[in-house]
Amino acid sequence: MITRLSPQEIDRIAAEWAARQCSGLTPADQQALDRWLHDDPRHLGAYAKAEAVLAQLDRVGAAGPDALRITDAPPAIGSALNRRTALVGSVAAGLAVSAGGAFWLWRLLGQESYSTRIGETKEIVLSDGSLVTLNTDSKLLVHYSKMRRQIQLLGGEALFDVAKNKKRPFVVMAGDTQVRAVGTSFTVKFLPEQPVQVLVREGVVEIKRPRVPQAPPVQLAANTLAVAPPEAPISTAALPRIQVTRDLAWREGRIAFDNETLANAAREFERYSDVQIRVPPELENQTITGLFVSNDPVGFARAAAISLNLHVEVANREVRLSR
Amino acid sequence: MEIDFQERARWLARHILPYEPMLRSRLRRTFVYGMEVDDIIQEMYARIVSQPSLESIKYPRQYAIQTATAIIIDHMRRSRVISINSAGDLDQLEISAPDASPEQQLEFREEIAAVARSLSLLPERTRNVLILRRVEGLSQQETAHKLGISIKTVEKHMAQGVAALMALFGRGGKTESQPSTPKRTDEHDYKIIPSRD
Repeated sequence: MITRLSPQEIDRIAAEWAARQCSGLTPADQQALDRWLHDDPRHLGAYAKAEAVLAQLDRVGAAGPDALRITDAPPAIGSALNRRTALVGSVAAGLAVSAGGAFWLWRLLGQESYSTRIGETKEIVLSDGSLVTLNTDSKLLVHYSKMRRQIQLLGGEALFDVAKNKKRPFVVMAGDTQVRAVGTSFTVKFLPEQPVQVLVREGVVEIKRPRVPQAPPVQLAANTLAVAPPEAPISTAALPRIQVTRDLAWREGRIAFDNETLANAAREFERYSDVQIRVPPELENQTITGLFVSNDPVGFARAAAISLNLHVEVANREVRLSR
Repeated sequence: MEIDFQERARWLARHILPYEPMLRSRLRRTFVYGMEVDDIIQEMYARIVSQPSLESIKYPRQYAIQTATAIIIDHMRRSRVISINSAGDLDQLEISAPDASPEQQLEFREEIAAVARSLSLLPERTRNVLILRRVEGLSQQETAHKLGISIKTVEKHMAQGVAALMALFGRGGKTESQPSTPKRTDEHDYKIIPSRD
């Protein structure tokens, strides 16, 4: 097998290839280089950087050799060469970043639909540069118009990292609840038989429920959790930053519990796999703390059993905890 | 590999290379179990150079940060053991990355100064080879003739020079030359998250 090279060795080999490339490669060398580049993405990255270094020399070389020979003081260059790259506005970068990519199922009147299976998470880069991370078993529709960026969360949970654009508000609809943002980061959770929850990580969002007169609109600041129960005002609570971060552990395929009851923890795990964790009533209020792999309920049950001194029994699609 | 490297390399030189030091300093604050900053940087270049269209990347600095973040997230998903703090660290990487303002865009003058600074740190012969070949545009043969060395030696200095500049550019042309390889720490030093055996 290929031994794993250190990043420094990879850089050195890439530099050798780049040096040879600029004096011309034989077809056989070219093939060897191609093979090497295919072996490991880090090879490709190092080689791309080596070529970029040479390109930078060429680019800067256009300023003349004298500019480069001055080594102490920064060389004075005429303003004609002072090519500042203008950057207009401030919006997050566009285009797909996630390699897995966002597959879209269908497109209808400019609507796109994205969904995840149980246990799956997915990142979607929308056309304006906003980033959506979909948690397990979730589905949403994207409808972008000139005036408005509208998302309909049909179920599940999603994190929205919204690219700033004051002229085009970003609105997430979940059931009867509307969450409006300009440029910010927040999650919306819309699970069966539970009130809609909104967690703000950065910036400010506004929540509206036009069809629920008892619930006037509220503005949420960063590190705030809002819960929108049926026929009642929206309740809000400030959360410590660390908890906001832990609540987002699902992005890395983890679930974080901080003194959570076994009953709630088991319910949370059910969102991520079709394995049921059975907790007898007398153990429901035992608590557990830790960070767990979300699609590994058995691993979680074993860890809980160790820390609480319980028995664990694994049957087909079912894990039983007992004293 | 049907990528026009020369053209893409020029784009990287202009839009990504200048931000590598910034990215490295952010990444150093982000502990990622089982991944070195150098690994992330190499993979970032690989992902960017493989993009179908570089011209459509409007905000390269932000794009580089997002790409690095995506690499870390992918890595965390693949790995079964992580530190309980990793998620928090990752957050920092993103939040401490405000959108680029025009002031933060490097001026060409500063780029030249950075290149000059880096070149000044190289051994004289290596520096001369790089300048003759790439700045003055001499061929390998002409360079060898002018310096009174063999073609083979020219190629050797080219390779050494490029490797040295790769290390220097990534660190903003600072003297802190080749960094020692960060030790891969043992699993046992970190909080271990229960996972299936």
